Amino acid sequence: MTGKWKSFGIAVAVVGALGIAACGSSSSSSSSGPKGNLEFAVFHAFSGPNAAYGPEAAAGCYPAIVEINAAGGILGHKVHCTPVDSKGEPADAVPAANRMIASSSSLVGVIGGGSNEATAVVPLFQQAHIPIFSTTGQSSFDHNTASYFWRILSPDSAQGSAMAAAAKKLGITRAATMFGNDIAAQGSAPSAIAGVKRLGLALPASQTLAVGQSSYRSEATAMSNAKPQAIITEADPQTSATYFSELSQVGQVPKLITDPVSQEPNWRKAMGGAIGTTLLNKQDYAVVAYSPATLPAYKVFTSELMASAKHVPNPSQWNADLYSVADYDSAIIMALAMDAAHSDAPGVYNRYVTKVTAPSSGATIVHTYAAGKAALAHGKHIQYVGAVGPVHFNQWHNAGNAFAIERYVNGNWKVYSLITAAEINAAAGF
Amino acid sequence: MAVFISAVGFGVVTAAILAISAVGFTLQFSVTNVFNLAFGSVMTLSGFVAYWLNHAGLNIWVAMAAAAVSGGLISLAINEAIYTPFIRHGLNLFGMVIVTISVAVIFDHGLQAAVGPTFFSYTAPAGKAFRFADFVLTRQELIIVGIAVLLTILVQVALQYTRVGKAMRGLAINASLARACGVPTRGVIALAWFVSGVLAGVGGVALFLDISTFTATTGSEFLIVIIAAAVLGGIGSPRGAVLGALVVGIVTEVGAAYWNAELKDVLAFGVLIAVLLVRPQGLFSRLATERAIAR
Repeated sequence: MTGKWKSFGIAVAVVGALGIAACGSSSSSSSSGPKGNLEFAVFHAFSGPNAAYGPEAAAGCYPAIVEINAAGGILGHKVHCTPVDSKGEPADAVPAANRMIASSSSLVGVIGGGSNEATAVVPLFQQAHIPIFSTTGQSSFDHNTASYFWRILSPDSAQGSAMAAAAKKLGITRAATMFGNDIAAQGSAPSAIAGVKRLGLALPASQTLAVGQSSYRSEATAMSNAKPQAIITEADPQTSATYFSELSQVGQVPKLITDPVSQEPNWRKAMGGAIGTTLLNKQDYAVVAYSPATLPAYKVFTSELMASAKHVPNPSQWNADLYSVADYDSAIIMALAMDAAHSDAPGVYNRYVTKVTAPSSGATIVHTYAAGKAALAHGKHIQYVGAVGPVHFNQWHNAGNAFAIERYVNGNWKVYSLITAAEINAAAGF
Repeated sequence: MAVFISAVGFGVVTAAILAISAVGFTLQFSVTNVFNLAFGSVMTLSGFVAYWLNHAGLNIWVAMAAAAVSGGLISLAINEAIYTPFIRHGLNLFGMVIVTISVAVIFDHGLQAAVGPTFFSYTAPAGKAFRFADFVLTRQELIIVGIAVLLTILVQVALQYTRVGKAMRGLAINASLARACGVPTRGVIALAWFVSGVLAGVGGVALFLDISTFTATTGSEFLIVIIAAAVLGGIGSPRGAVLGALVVGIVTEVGAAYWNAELKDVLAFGVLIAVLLVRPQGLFSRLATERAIAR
């Protein structure tokens, strides 16, 4: 081997070795809070391609602790949020989770674990007996048996069916699909494609894109030639922006039937920069869990979010973000479960999660932590109806939602149409 | 046939964008023997310079020129302030790769902390679209292809016919011999870093224009395909880098058009492996001497 090739070979080896080393050496920002304080970990990606997920989840946690601490804390303990960087990769998330579990004695609950890393880290939290409220959409958790895993939002399979149902509801007869090939986007792809076929709509193109490419011109040309009336889509901001920018150059961007990802500020910023905000707002129909901003808990969330500007930069950007809303509810539910259990021990209060959320005769419906805490102090049973609405966990610790088609009008998300359970069931084949 | 022609045309556009950076990467490596994995960070930093100027009201092409200059200066500064002291201390090739990765991490994460984990876009309309059957080329893409062709020809001509170009080639083949022959190695090396940075700046802006939006880490994320183009063409050969970029660009687009869009990378890197099995030195490389890092 010559010197040049030897050095190149070494360089490649080093890149590989460093990659492996980096995977094993990711740092978390986990730390124990002051003595007596309790800690919710915001376990999400704060760096890397999905670095927006962490701030999004934090925008749910911080408003919740403002509310909880204003009401005197949990069982007399103040609570705080600790961001922990999972980097959105299992190889980084696992050591980060292990370090966090080992180093933090005040950790009482976890908010996070996105689709990319949930499968890897949920068993760790299960083993450590720490409740994890995840926003993963992976279908593998549809029949979850981990007792410490909880999911407030509907799984991706339901999301995909709802997107197909939305196409039908919008009067679309030719609906194409375009999904990224990452775990997060692929969660809803099969049910969306199956739903389109089941509802009798034509499927002129169905594309799975390798994410993060410098060009999708051939794919965009094929899509343009297929002439769909709408594209049902989920892909990361970068991929979406490149693809739809190129589609707008080779043809027309038809109606876009998107999911909650399209309500994330980063996705809108990327797509707005690529095809223009006017065209984006005109063509985008976001299919999201129905969570009307008029709900009492939603109003409280909005208020506490605005009061969290110290930890949440530009807080208003998260007000319509369903994941932030769900993460807010997650923290409130954990806090109320601790009060109901009279214990902040995760192994104890985990059993009380359904006791503060399930509907029951005589239960006092509460929309805030303060109201729930007061009712529990008076010995009442409570049902927390959160910012996402009622949270009914099934035996697999999954809670479903109704869906709505929302449109971005004058700087706000407006409900355009509701999608009924019957419409979703028709798409899902139930 | 129309699909094939359009896929090849799209591949040429992709290749032009990759080629600018691949030529910059390979030129610097050939002269200095430093496998600079912070090249993507220079692309990003320069891209942000263009972004700030563009959003201050400057035309994108003027902003690109400013990004080129800033890329050159950043690249030069990185070499002078960080790499050169390590080289003087006799750090080996292996150690230098670690240093370049460290620089990339520091720059990318530092920039992300400064600008936030969000997306940025230039204010630059794609312009009029020219259609040839299914093949569509915008005015912006046409300009980028023109810039790529112009820059690669300039680099090739400079290397072939100018004194400094010949000095660079001499350094690339044997640094000690070049020094013994009176080549001012320090100046030539500095120039190589500057030119490499200029190409990183132009390549970064071209790439970010093409993909419409970018973040603080986008340059580094695309480095692997840039290196692939350089390696395929023959590491150290600007001409080879262009050819490598053409192969990568056309194979990915034709693969997406005829095969499976999800597996376009598999096809492109499969071709890379196949070519390297037959010709380990790449398509064009003539560098095959025992070399250390040039100082």
